[in-house]
Amino acid sequence: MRKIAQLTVASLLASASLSSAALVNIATNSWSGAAPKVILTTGGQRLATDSIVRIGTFPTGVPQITPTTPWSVVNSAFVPLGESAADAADGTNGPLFVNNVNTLNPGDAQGHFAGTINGVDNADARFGAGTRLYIMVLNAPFASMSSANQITILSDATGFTIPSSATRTMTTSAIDTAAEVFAGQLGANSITMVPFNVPEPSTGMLGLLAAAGLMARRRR
Amino acid sequence: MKRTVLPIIVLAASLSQVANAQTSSSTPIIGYYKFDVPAGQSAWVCGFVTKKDFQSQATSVAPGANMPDGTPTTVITQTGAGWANNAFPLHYVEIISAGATQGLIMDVVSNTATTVRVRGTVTGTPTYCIRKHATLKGVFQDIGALVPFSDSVTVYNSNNTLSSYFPTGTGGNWVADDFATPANDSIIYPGQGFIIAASSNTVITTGGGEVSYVKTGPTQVPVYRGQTNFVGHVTPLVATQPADPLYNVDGTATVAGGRVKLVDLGITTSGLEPFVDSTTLFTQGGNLDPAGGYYVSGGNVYADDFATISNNVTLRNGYSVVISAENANRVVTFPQLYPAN
Repeated sequence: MRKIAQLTVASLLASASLSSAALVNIATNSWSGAAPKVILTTGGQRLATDSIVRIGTFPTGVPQITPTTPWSVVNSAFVPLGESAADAADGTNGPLFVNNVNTLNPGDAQGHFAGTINGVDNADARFGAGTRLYIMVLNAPFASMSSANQITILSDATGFTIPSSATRTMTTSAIDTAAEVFAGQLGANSITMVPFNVPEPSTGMLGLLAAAGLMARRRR
Repeated sequence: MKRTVLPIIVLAASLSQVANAQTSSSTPIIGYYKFDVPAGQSAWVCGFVTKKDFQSQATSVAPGANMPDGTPTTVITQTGAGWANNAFPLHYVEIISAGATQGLIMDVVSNTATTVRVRGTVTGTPTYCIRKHATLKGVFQDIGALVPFSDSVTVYNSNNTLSSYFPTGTGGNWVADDFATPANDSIIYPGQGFIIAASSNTVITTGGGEVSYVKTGPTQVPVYRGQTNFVGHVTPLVATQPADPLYNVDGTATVAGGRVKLVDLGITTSGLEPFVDSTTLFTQGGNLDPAGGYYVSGGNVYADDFATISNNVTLRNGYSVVISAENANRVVTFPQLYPAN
């Protein structure tokens, strides 16, 4: 009986050595696959070079995004694995190699992104195998990320997960239903960002606007 | 980690490979090789296959009844074969004829005196061979310092589950992870990778027994969408001496022996989705961490920045990689690398 117990422990240890800690790669691009989709701003322009692309998770779900949803609400709900231009600096994963938009890749064009986050530790409880991944694109560079006022958040319902081993590649081609666009508008060949982080007018400001309206009416 | 590859030993280059062939086949190289397995996890592929038990052109081919799981089958008729009924319980059929199905591997379901039924679809009347599968006991002739009931060999199944097997330390036997079920006959498919978990550096011997034949022709290996597909090309690890014919497959002098350039691995011509399906290389030993991800497009291999052409990145013979198919099941055709066509 003792031997069996020892063997069972050995079995568990051996199995655990394969099924737990592993470094994996998370790659993304917006221009490959059957139906690649470019990222457009609200004005229909291609996303500017050096805009930021973030990859991470929303452990408690994606907050509802409206034009007045502040940056802080979105950012606090998001746990980044990495992002373009700089590491997420969460002390666990990285370094980050998500390219700036406009990579040198042949056929690439403004509005697209590509790159890979290498060495994601899926032993980290936040990033365990099977955890759903999201791509967040903002119309601002990393240095002024909080000033962004347009956003899109994407996640393929079946394919965007942290793998147990090797590499997961997330492409915008996989985004093919509106339900996979948590912020933004899905088109045939594009995903258009939506406004957010637009300050609500304060009460005082509303009063001033009302007064100005009344004055204009009296003058007429 | 420095790896030392000991010379492959060519034991009997003139022995006949075909036990019951109706047509001629190539002369085999029968041998074994030793390879250093580092402590921790390392990913490998077997460089040998078993001998051909039969080879001929099919007399006729017809669809068989589907398997209970819906998999189609094919009945190959071989007039005059004279097989014993169900003589191929652990065997597979490999398509030899040139064409799209060359190198296709199909498990044998059953056979009669003149027919063999296989899982999969065969068209035309191709030349094919029947081989016994490489099994755990057949592949590993010497497990070196692997610790019985502790160190293991693990394969990923087609449903993404893991099967781990443990050496018992006696008679070259293996058991499943319940430490009771015999696992000597567990199959390692041609091109299927396996992970060795070793508690210390050791030297393991592959070949020397029934799994000791160098495979000729391409090998088709399925990779399943969303699963961890450890796969590799079926080429033996090679020698340390330049005079050995297996030395320097890619023409680069290296003590480590044969390597293959990624562009020659077959991944650029296997229908992988460009810039979507990935090939991940690993650092052998330790936690088996990724050493790089690669993509294909337009006949080139790209690094995971999606921009740097990486055709000349090399993979050590005997190492397996993970090919991730993101949107559909794929079939990778690994070319014959040695001996030369």
